[in-house]
Amino acid sequence: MSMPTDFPADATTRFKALALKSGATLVGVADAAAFDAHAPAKHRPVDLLPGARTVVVVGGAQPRAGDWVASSPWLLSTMGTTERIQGVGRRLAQAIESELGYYALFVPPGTAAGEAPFMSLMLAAELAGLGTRSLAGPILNREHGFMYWSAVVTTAPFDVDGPTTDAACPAPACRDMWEREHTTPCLRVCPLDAGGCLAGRLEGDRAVRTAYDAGRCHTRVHTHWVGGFQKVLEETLNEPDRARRKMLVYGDFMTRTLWSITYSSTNIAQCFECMRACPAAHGLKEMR
Amino acid sequence: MATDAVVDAVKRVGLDAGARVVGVAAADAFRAGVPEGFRPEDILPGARSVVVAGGDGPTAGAWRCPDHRVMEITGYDLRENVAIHAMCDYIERELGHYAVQAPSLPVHGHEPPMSMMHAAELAGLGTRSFAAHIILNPEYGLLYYAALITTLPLPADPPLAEPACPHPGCAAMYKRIGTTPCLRVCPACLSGTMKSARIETSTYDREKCHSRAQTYGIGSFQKALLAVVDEDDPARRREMIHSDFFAKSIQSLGFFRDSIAQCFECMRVCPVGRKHRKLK
Amino acid sequence: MSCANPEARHGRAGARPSDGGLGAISGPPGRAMTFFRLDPEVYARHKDDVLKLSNSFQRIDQRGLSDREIAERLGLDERTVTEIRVIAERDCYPLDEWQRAIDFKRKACSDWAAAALKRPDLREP
Repeated sequence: MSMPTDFPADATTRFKALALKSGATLVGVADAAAFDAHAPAKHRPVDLLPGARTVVVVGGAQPRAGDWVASSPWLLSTMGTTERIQGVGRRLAQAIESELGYYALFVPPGTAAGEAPFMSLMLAAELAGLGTRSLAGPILNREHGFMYWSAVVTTAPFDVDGPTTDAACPAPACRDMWEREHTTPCLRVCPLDAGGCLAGRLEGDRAVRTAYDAGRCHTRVHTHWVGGFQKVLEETLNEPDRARRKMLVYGDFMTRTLWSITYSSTNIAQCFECMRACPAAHGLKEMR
Repeated sequence: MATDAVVDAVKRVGLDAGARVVGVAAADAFRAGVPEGFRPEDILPGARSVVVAGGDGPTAGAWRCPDHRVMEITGYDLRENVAIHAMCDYIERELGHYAVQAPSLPVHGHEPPMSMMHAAELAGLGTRSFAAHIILNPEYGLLYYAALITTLPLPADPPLAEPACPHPGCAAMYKRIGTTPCLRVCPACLSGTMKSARIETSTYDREKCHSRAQTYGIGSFQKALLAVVDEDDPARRREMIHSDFFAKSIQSLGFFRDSIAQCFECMRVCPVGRKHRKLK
Repeated sequence: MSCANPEARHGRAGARPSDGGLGAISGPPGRAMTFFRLDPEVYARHKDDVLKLSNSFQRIDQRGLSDREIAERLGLDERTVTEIRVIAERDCYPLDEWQRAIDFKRKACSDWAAAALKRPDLREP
């Protein structure tokens, strides 16, 4: 594809500033073609927007320091902040089109079918140089730790940032722990071989995830969500006794699940234990 | 303890973000009236203060609509929550203390991890009323509350010395005919007595009120779903599934922001704050 | 916490075990758990007492008890009380009450409009 010759020289700088002013903590640009080596067909930028050249990725809306040290598990799972970054992505998409005249597509954070997203926002964040994959899975930024992502696929030829090599994971404390105990905080809090989701090891400066039970993780991150509703509905329909059916339909699990579905914007993520235990996930700013 | 300038700065952030009122309560003030497990310190270790923001509900125009269904789905902009986020960000970024939005959504049945009503009382933003024990702000009447919990020690605002309820007009009405506007409009949910122009007794049937304040929502969906699964006749089952009631219940799940509160009759007749609803 | 080592972390990360969490550095779950189902007979036996002690029927001068407090009072475990309370809140009134709610609001709103807006034509016949 030919590159436009009239693209303003300061466009990348201007739009990155707009992203930060709109509330993003971080902003980066990935080359749309870089997804080809990593993403399956139908889940690449050009599959969503034919002619896509770049992907603008914003990170932010992360849990606050107070959220991580809170002792109530209900805080993070009912007062989530993911939605705050979506608005930044939408605003950027509108601005790219109205101010630069190039196509822009805000990548919806939902799923295309089942659990498959339209495009991996985590991969987008990596390719835009905003973070690296952790042993537990989420993308971690060296300075800010765990955060939420939003992406805009566009035909605008922004200047591209490459992936970063400065990995947040494994953190020094995790390397020390591995030396001592052959485990890390995330592996210890959610071990696959004891009913959890994760298995892995550290090889020098590298974290290697050897197994991840996505299905089990789903029951934790989305405990009270569509899948849970379907499960308890199935139990209800299969229950021949009326009194027991009432216990299921009116019960705590169904009630909580309906609340989560209703207030989805703040209940969309319901397990953070691998990140709560992670020394690299909370950002570097000290609190009192 | 933070200075007055600091607390004023925090409040200003909240007011600029859209809160109608902002107040501060000491975290340990919750111990007297709140069971263990539901106090600020149970949510954020080291909690010292709770900052409470009150925001507007429906507009004055919505209150005047003769079709109650409009208020059932008019929704709000939830500015008090925006104000809380703005203040949390400010406290962590500029003042270096932990701050979290207090979890206020129910997690087990009707029970939230922390009471926003009690937080508003302790922060001096209002007092309990005959009408469903709703916290009434003496100036604005019905407001919606959100709160943050922080390790920043802020000077607390005292609870109000004078209750907002009963309004002098209601006290006069009670003296004349032994009831008040809210008690008269909704005897199904409310009852109470007044003595010397003060609330003497007051009861509130929350479960009945739930069928009115959340007519279409999680509860109605569960009620209707159970009726559907218990119905053996396929034709009747089909009718129930496609009924207006079930459809509106599902709609409320999907468009939750528009259906947060669905009955306003006790507040419609309440004189507290009504002057702010008289427009052109 | 040393400022010279910004990546060193305190030991406070992680919900305390007393709050249902596993703590910052913790081991695997203690035992496998099956989906909690309440026996309808247990429910029928205790639902009225649980609701009476909870925040369902409120008095302005007296707070309702927490599930833990109710459990101690009735000699039950807290999880069972929570389940009983949640079900009983929903079970308290039949679906007919929802229809009464719809009728009540329609009438109350139109009656108010008729009086306050001086529009008797708005009153429901």
